[in-house]
Amino acid sequence: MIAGKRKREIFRFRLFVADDTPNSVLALANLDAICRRHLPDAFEIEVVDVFHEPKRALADAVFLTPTLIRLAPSPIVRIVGTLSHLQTVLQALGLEGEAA
Amino acid sequence: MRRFPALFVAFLAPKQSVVRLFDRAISTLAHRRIGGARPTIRSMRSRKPSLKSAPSKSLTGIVGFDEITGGGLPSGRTTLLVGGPGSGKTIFALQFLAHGARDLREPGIFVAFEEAPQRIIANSEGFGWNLGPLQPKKLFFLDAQPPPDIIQSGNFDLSGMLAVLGDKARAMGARRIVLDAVDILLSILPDAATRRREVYRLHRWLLKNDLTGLITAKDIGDNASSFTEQPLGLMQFMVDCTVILNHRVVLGTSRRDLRVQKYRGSGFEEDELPFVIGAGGIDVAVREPGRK
Repeated sequence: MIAGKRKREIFRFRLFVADDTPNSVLALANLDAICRRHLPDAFEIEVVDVFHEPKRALADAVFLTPTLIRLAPSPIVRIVGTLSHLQTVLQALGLEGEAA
Repeated sequence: MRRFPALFVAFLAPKQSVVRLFDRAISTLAHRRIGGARPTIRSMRSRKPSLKSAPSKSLTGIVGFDEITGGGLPSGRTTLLVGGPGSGKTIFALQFLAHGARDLREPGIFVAFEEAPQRIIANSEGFGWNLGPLQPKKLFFLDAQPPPDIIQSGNFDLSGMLAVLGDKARAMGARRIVLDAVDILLSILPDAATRRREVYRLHRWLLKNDLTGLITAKDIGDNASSFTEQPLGLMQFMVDCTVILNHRVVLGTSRRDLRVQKYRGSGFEEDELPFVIGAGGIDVAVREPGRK
């Protein structure tokens, strides 16, 4: 394993939420938990509320909420939903098999 | 029994020839199924589009359609436009928006779920609507095609889209909105309960924003097991007006028909009427009085 040798690239996330609707609150909680567990000290989360910043939702073509966009590392990954299916999320983010 | 409606119509329209009206009433009867609903005063009155009906209406600019509905689609309400692939739904919807934006100072938003807006615009170029100068201030296209590689994890809703549309509608003072191929949108929602909830949310949003809405959806057919039938069925209850487009080939001849299935608070022509997609868009053939 080369883990530990390689410096971990910062994961940059942008989470589009719809006010404090249950789906959005849950998505943020799930994202936070995943980052703390799998990416300690190597993540940034920006939360954008579509009702406060609709132009940013349009710019990023976000029509479903919540939507998570992984801006870095590339490629850009988009996941919609509450991020409740842990395996799906980890796989999509390339965090599968990471040491807990 | 059969004479009564004819006499009644003669009363309503004393200026017109009684003979023609009699013919018209008979042809109305002939178009109805035996044992079906008997012609009502409402259906008779609908033949006189000059009658002002209760709800205010938004002209579509579609020849014949504005006539049979007595002025177009219900203003500030939602209309469902249903038809199979290639039946003319998108053309109908775009014509409605183009007419509003160009001729009536009613800016409009076109939300495209199935086709790229560029393609829709290119396909309509032959009709001479000259959409170019209208964009983006009077006519705005929103590309809302779901990404093919969309990853889902858990529940989600349409708040993002409604937030974007609300912002856009306010900024441009939009009066009209088209949601084209809403079946595509519904198909990406995870389950039936979510689809119902989001259809409801969408409808409430349209009413709240006082937009004259036109939602198009692919033919749902009569198949009870149809995947999208439930939410579309729900939509049929919620909307104020339903229009059905049909395209079929009869003895080698292409034939298109339009039928207004429902129009809350208004009279309308209830029969299926042929239409063509001509040089300037959709053109509905309105039956001449006294002709079959």
